[in-house]
Amino acid sequence: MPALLRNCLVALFFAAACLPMSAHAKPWETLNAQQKEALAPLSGTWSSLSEQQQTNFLAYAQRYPKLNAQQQQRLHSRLEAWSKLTPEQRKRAREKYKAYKKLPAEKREAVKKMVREREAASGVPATPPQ
Amino acid sequence: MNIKLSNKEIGNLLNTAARQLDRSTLNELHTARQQALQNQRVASPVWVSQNGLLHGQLQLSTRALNWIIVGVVASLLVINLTYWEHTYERDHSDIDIAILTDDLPVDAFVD
Repeated sequence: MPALLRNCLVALFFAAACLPMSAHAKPWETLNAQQKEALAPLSGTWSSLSEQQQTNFLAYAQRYPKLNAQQQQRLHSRLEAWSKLTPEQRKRAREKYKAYKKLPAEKREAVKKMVREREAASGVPATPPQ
Repeated sequence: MNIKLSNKEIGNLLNTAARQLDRSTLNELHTARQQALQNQRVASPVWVSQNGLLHGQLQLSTRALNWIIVGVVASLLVINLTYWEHTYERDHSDIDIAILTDDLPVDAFVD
């Protein structure tokens, strides 16, 4: 029996070692200046985000300096809405985006035109002007 | 005749009766009692600490032990799947940035 107990303890230790290393939630104040600038639209809701979401957004912040001014502006304007989507919605959005990127150029243009017409009809442009 | 006796009175009567038994009967009774106590100790699942280590007597069949091992392995699989799901979700920053900075608004890709 001690052998079984030992095996069980080894298995449990292995299970614990396999647990994902959870990034501890970081208070907004502990972010550096670059991270704060990149994630500024989330400053008010940062503490309510899950640890996983915070980790994801910190990965975005790392890429933020490499984006051009227009991309940075778009990221800022869309970040909050993106953070409020469910993981399933984000997964579906990624799938749709991949499918969109595989379309031929003329079809992509047709989709863009359709979206812009829809925005114009609703009167609220969702895309910042280029 | 219906006489009501207290526990103490019953105990006294049993002790008096026991003193009247011959030595060999008393020895047999003593041996039987010790055996019964020994069996009870073996059958009880107990865990005791000896020299700082856990030693135990747990009555489990081989089948039960196999189920325990299967349970531990299944738990490991679930933990690993959860881990990889988290990793999978984490590794999407490339495409997420692309969506968030594309010409099209995010709404175009959200159901």
